[in-house]
Amino acid sequence: MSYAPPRYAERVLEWCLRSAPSSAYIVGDLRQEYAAVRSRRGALLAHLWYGREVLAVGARYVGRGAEASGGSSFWRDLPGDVASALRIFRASPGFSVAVILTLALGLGVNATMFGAVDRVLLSPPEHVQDHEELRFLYHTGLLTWSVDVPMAYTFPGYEAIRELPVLAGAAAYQPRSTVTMGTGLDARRPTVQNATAEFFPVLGVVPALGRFFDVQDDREGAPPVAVLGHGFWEREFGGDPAVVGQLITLGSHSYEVIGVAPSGFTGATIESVDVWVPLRMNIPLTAGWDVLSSYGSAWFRVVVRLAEGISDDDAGTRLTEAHTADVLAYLEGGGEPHRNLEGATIHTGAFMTALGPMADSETSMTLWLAGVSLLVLLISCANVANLMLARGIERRQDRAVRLAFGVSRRRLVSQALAEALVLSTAGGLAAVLVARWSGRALYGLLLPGIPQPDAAVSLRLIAFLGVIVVFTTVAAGVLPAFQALRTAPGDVLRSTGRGSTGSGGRVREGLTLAQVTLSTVLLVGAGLFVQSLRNALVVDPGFDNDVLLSVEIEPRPGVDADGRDVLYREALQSLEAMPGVERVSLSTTARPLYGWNEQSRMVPSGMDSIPRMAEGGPYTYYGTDGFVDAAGLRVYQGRAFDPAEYGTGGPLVVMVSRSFAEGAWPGLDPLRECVTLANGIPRLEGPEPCRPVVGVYEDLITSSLEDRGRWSLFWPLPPETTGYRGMLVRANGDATELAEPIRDRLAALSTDVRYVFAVPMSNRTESMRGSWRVGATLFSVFGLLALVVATLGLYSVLAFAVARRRREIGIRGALGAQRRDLVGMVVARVAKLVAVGLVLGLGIAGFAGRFLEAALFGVPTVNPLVFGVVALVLAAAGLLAAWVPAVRATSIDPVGAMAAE
Amino acid sequence: MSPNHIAEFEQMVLLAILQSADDAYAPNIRDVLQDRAGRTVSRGALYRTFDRLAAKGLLEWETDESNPMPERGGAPMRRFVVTREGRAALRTSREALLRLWDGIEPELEGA
Repeated sequence: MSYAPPRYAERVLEWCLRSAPSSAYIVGDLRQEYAAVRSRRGALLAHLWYGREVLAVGARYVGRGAEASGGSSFWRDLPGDVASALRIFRASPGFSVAVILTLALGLGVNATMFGAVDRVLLSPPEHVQDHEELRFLYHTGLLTWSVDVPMAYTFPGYEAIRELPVLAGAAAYQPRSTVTMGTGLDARRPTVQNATAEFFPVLGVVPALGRFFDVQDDREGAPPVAVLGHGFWEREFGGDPAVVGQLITLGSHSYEVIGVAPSGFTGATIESVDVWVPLRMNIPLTAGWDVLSSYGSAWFRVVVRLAEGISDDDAGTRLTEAHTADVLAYLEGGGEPHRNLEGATIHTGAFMTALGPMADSETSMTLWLAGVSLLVLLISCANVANLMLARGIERRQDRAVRLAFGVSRRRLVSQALAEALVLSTAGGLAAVLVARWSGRALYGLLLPGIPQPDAAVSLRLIAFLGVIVVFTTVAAGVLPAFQALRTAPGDVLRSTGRGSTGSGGRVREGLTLAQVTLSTVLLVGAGLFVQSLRNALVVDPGFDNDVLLSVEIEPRPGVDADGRDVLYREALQSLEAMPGVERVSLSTTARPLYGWNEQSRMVPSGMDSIPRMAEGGPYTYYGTDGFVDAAGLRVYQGRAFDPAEYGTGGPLVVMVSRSFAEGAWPGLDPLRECVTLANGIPRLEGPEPCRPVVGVYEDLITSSLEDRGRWSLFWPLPPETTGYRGMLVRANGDATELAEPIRDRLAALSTDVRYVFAVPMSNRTESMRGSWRVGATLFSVFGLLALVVATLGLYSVLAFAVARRRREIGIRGALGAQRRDLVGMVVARVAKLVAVGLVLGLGIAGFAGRFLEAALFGVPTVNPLVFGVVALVLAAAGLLAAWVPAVRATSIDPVGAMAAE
Repeated sequence: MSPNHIAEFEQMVLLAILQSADDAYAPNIRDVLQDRAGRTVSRGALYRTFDRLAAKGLLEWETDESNPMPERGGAPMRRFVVTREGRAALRTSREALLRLWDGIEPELEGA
């Protein structure tokens, strides 16, 4: 097998050689030798080798054109400067490695973060044409139920604006959902999106195979057709072109495959879609009722292309007019009034959702982390400048000699810049490697479910790195260059080896201080997120999260409600006999502990009705025999249901949550109260009784870890209940290990079983913790990175100071200074830098913390514990940095130090 | 300076090409310089020297298509040949050096 050198490095080489007649041969020679090095010494060393050779060869060629045409002196001298910079780096590899590593980490992390930001915020979904003309429709005031969802649209609303002349096109689609394809053990759950025929033309995409659906397919009663996503086609059909014309079964209908979308196309957003089907066929995928004519249900998103020359304001005005006219006509025609229909205004908004009002938490987290990684870049640049400056001071004499020999100051400056350029180029190449390695991990963490682009290192990424490289070059090159300008040869030659820290020292201390300060800020961020995560981990959901699974069975098409009940009863028996299962209970909700929002249906004793709650609720939980015991509710007053209460004809009772009890009957004994269920179990005849409360339990979490205090209620189901939708399974041990066996067991139960969901409850709490886990991980990684870089910076400042003051320390030693005093001298310097940096950093963190507050969980942002730990960590890092220089200071031999002059 | 004057490094490169005979490919030439003359040569310097010598007409190259190597990824490979002018220049330079050396060897003995 033969290896090819890194493409980006080869591009650099080709660019350098662009005017050389022998270019192709040289590129070939280097390829050949790269392959040999690679097979001998492995990928990493071969990459480094190649990078060095590209620089060495490129440097010889790159200035040649300018030379011939008498170009600027910087370019003419550059090859020579670069070559001499390369020689210097060979002479001091430790310094070069430190600089390149710092840059690689700083730039690499930024490149990865840029990749993520690019994907979320800057790049349109793939294959979309002229995306700057596209808009999503947003609205304000179109309330559905209790929540204002600014992108959710009614279908009649879409039809009313679809043909307005301000639009070049408009398409409606539904957010993707999953639908079962196949049966039993072979069943899969592809993601499916309903879209109108206008969808593909509006986005401007062309099929990879076959055709997209058109208005003939997109109408009620048309033969069902489907378009496959490219990835799905490759995964499920092996990329076979004969798939066009085949039938696939989605949900309860067969669809003819008519085409395949191009590779990477994901529709109007960046989440992947497996199958598109025409929306107006009106075959329900998720919604079970007629959503196409309803003014009350807003299930659609609308993407439009603005007509030429139309501004967003014009479009918004016309859209709102058309919408209002349509709604008024509907109401005049006797249509049912829905909340606020006629008061809504429509406006067009950014095509990329992450930039619009619907930007989600992933977006803000990505932005946060991009900011954080910029801090890391700043720290890296400070460190590089620091190192370069130290070298500049070390080489003062060398420069002085050259000045004395008549080398111009300009040349010295351009040499310093060339050094910086070489270093940042090498750092940039190393950063691409870091970005490639860290990119995959970061994508999985930050953007789960969003397909990663094929090319790990994109052109945009390289352009971005290029910008940072130039920025770093200037930042790190300017200071030493200034130093070169300021050098007065006579002074330097006279003061050989004697000067104290001088002005360069102050700049370096300033840079180190900046590093300590920024590291402090990052470490405080890490501490706050780690504490949030810890809080999130110990939240008690109110039930035995780790041993519970919720199980749902989808019957094959054609199985009626009775058949479904039969399946569930068989499943109950089967699972009760299964090893590892402790308890099983059936429920009439699909996910028994997710809760069913049923505000209007109950009346507690002593109240007329339950006040409307902004966050929803009360939540109702239903289950057959053993439900409360299986869930492991924290019952703190009264008792759980007894077997008779689950039995046929047993006493009709309920259990309520702490918030329910305290909210409905403040100061009263809830066990003496009762709740009337306005429309109770259908089997009952006659008026519904007020059911006594037999027990009170701690509140359960519902949709997020933070929303405690929801009213909720448990209700026992007798065995003859109908309309089962799901079951709760309690395992003997870890529930996650039981998910797969349960799926297999139930899939094999009957040919009527189509698909089995078995989801550990811990999946749900884990995803609720997601943002804190991401924050804690990334802040910690970046914080530690910053700490390492800052420690290196401290070390280099100290080591340098000790070396410069050798003579002074030697004299002090000769005059009888104790080792302790000498160590004290070094430590005092560290203490000063760390203390000032800490105070500044904690101040900034305390101020910036308020912006982070919303992202934290039960953690005060001005946090003595976190601040204390960060202070300790930095003190330890300071001591570590001081250790070697301190030891070196005490081991200076006074006689030797003075004789060296 | 006569047009045929060649610097020391250029001489060494021409000689290394002659030494390599049928295998006068760039990587081999570099190895020969390293093994026989003890000179570690940077690739950049070597390639620039080839260009310069070719411009002076002292060497030329031919593209070798007999042996397409997969690891070159389709890039062509060249074999260097010292031209008649190149050989003449080497000869002139050798004679000049020998004349200069004449009679001073004993003086450098033990140096």
